[in-house]
Amino acid sequence: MIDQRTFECLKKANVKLGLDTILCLAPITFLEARLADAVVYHPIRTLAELRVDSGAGTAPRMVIHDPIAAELADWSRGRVGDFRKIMGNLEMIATHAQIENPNILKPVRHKQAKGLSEVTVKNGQARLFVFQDPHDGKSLVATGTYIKRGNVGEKELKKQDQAILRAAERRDLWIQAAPIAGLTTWRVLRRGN
Amino acid sequence: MSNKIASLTQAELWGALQNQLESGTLGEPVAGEVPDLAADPDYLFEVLRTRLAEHLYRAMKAAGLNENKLARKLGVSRQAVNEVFQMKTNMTLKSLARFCAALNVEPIVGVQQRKQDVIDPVPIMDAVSSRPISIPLPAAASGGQVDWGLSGLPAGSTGLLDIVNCEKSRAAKGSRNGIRVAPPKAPVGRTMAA
Repeated sequence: MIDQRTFECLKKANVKLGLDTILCLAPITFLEARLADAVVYHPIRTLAELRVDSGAGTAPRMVIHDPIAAELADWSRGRVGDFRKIMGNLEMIATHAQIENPNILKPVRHKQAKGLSEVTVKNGQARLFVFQDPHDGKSLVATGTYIKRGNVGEKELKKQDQAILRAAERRDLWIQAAPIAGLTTWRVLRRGN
Repeated sequence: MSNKIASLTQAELWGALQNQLESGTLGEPVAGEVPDLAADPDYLFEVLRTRLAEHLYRAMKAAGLNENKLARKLGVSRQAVNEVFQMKTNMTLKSLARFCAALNVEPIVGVQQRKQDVIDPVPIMDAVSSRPISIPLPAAASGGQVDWGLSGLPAGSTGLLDIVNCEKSRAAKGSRNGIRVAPPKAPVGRTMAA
């Protein structure tokens, strides 16, 4: 949900609704609550987009499109084992300055996705692509997901590549977006002038 | 952008959204939210296994060993060691003790009250003042978190498990009520939240 202050800041920043791309970092609520007392805590957030939808015969509505949270929610129903492991890994990553075990977090080996890392699940198929937010140097931002199939054919590798590139593109959007005064986890890509 | 939105001016759009803000639904997520797993024992198992894998991996690196050398020291196959780091096995306490002995580190076991129970303790009406008073639940009843860590073996240590009971309440943040059998040296990884 968006509070009054955020709403006012967006309005003040003269964001063009329906034209500009408004990005925000959405918290994974249960992790935030669970780790609120942790000595070391690096927030892990998902990259979401604020959109204005016309709705069905109603007034325009502002909604949050969060594809990563949606995918995680899907996994929590259809891939429960993988979901628990991914979240367990995220909890470990959030509470440690550095992760050494490559079975938990490892860099993505792709020329066009430098700086992107992969939260892996051994004995499972789910993958989550994350990067360290250069704006605060502390948060990890999840920008993509992928289900790795057992059969690693050329077709499958292509799909994996596409998922990595999509995640890298979304990361670049966040990096390129301009800050919004008064807000730290919101940025805007100005499109409409 | 839909035609309907395109036909509205920015002022009209902001006006419509102001109404949504007042109704408390502004910025609702369109898809489901990530569920809370804090009370899921299978999740806590994954958390334990992940922590253990990371701490043992760090201890292995700190000891200047690799999986092959560690396997030789333990008298097991490299595959068996690798499965621990890959979080594929449900490691027994005996195996953990063997790893710790081989790596010259000491395990630390502890539990702490889960955050949720600290934020929202069970309210009990005080009969005298009729004011609700809060009594934090004991870790065993509330299902407190269990944390595992490893520390370097102190000189002359008997290798006993270092058992720390750190029931923590938010009100008394920083206080720790624990009994240490063998106080460890500087921890290898994060051990208990202070």
